[in-house]
Amino acid sequence: MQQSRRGYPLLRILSLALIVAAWDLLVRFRIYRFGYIPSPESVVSAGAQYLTSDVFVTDTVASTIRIIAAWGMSAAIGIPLGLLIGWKAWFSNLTFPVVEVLRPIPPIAWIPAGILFFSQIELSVIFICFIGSFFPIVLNTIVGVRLIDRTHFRAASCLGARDWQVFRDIIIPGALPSIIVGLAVGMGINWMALVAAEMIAGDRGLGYRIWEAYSLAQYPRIVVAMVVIGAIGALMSIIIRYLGHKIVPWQQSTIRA
Amino acid sequence: MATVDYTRVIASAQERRARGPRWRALRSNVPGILLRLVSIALFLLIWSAFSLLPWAVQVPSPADVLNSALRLDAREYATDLWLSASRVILGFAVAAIVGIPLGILIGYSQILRDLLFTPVELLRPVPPIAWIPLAILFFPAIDWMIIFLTFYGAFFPIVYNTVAGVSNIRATYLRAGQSLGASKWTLFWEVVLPATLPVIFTGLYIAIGVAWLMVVAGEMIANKGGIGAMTWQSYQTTQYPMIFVGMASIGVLGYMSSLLVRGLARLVIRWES
Repeated sequence: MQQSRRGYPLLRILSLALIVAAWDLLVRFRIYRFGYIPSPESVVSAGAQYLTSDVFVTDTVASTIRIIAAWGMSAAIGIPLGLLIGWKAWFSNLTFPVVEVLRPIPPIAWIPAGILFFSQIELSVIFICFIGSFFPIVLNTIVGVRLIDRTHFRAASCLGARDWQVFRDIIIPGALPSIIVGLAVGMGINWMALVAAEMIAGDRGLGYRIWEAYSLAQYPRIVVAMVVIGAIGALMSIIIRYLGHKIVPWQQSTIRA
Repeated sequence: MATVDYTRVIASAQERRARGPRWRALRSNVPGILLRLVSIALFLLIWSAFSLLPWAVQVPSPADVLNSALRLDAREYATDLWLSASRVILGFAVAAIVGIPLGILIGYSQILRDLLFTPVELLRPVPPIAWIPLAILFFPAIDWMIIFLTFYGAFFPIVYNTVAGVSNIRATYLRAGQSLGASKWTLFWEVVLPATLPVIFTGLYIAIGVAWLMVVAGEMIANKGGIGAMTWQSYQTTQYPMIFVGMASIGVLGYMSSLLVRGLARLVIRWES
């Protein structure tokens, strides 16, 4: 509404201070069941301990590798598939019904099937993350192709462009902004799927650490792992958004992760 | 906005003339429909072939899945479905009732934005599933734990989209209203709300999907009641075909609730296509 507002940075700091104070007081005076929740101090000290340990490094590396592998695979399969579905009607008829049937099943529901398909933990976790990012990438790619102005295609065929030239010079650049949106959304869902898969089926990684901390009753560590997951997730979406702006500078406003 | 896209108008008119009445349009699309059926048939065929592979003996075939779906205890199954659905409905409803007004307030006032939106922005990157252990610690009853999770998952998309809707209203709409002498209250009901509703419904549409995801995750972890628990227990008791029955049920229910939200949107915001 008011476009030129600048906001009050002090108010933001105040807001956070209030939240932490409320959290501390609720836990300290054990109001309702807040007595079971770790206090801010215990989280800070557990954080200092965890962030300087080797486990932190191995967890972060394991989770990041899984995320990147799954994301890369779903991009490698999803983008070409989406481009073809968006472009060729016969290919769309042949493959899109299957995509539509499988899409409403959330990645979490794939966990038991994933364990069944792949006896190895590593592969099943990657598979579940793959499912998470695959559908947003495919769908955004299809939308990207379908939203290309039809006149571009007519102009190209008037000028005698071949199929692969249309594909290279119209389809790919035309769909690119939407593809990047799909990649960003996919990355977000990937983190969600990773945490769930590692919690239920994992052996290491940040999501597993949350669950281990819970079962070993090291409750402050739960919050530490949550913060680390949030921070890495936010960092990755910032990187994707930045790269998106670099790759499609002509579409500044549409890219929102 | 004012210019007419003539090429599109002409193209659609030509298409309409070429297609003729509806049944003829259907007939001309027969190869497409056939191809779609072939698609599903191929999928089932590949799945069946896959389940015959020696290293995939554990994977049930479509026939196995259909068989165990038919042998299902209907009563137990219906109870599980209703339990999950009621958790989703409750969590989603609370998220909408809290999230929409909150989003409107944040969108309206810079002070509230700084005060309330800062924690929302900081919490958003943490996947809602990561809250499960804390939710278990906090809520003594499984029901409330899972309802909280569905609420939490649905809350963020609703708030975010409502804020985006309110803050992206065209300034000219507001100025037009103001210059016609609308009070703040009228401006809200006659301009801000109608302009924001489509975006709010986008938020609700995303939120119902996340709510289903959260209910499945919470039920799998709690492992007591609901369709998510049924799916996980099928894995634990090695009734593998039932896993796929559970997945399909989750998919169908999720899809139906998205359709419901979309239908509601069409009913409420008839002015948007």
